[in-house]
Amino acid sequence: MTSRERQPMGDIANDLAAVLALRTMADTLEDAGVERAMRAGWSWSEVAEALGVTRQAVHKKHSARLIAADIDLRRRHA
Amino acid sequence: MHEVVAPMSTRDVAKQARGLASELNARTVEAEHLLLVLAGPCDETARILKPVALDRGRVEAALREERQASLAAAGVEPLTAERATRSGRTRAPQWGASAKSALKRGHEIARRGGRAGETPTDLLLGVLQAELGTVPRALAITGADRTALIAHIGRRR
Repeated sequence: MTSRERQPMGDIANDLAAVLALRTMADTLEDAGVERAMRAGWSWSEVAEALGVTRQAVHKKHSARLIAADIDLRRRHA
Repeated sequence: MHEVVAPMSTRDVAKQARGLASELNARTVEAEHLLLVLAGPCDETARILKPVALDRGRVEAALREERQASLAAAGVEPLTAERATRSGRTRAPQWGASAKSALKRGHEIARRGGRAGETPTDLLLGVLQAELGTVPRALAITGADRTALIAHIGRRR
């Protein structure tokens, strides 16, 4: 394949751009979903289980943002 | 009294792009954030882009269209505003690959032109020279001829 065939809007480029857009969307959905769950009183363990990751991983990734957003994260079970 | 505003430097552009990425809740600063600043508050490059109808608003709209088209390629619709609402990140966005490449190309263009430091126009060329990825896709959506625009900027110098 020549570089001339590597068009930014071709079929292959569209698939690769879809990957990028889906990653961004997944990040957004994760941030929003975790925040909604914590506001609704879910525990870190429940959120972690729903996401298929460890409690430590979800806590490390989201706790600072949620604390900054003034979400009360005390008295969470597990 | 009329206030004299100093022209934006490349450092200013980079700083504003990082601020914009942060406002948009992006994990990384990418070439599209640089392009948005170059099409908007940076007068030097906004003057170059305006004749081909690439102002800040048009670039923003094209980037939105590009995202929707990319999701549509996977059969997915964009999130509603309600489902996408979340608090801002606490960590400043890091520099992403597309922005790093654009900055590197801008630096190289300045070096080849015998300039000690790159200008916003050098950086604009660095952004425009990407052949694949979000920026050339968004430019294709606007109907702008990226190759002709690069040549036009080259002739102006």
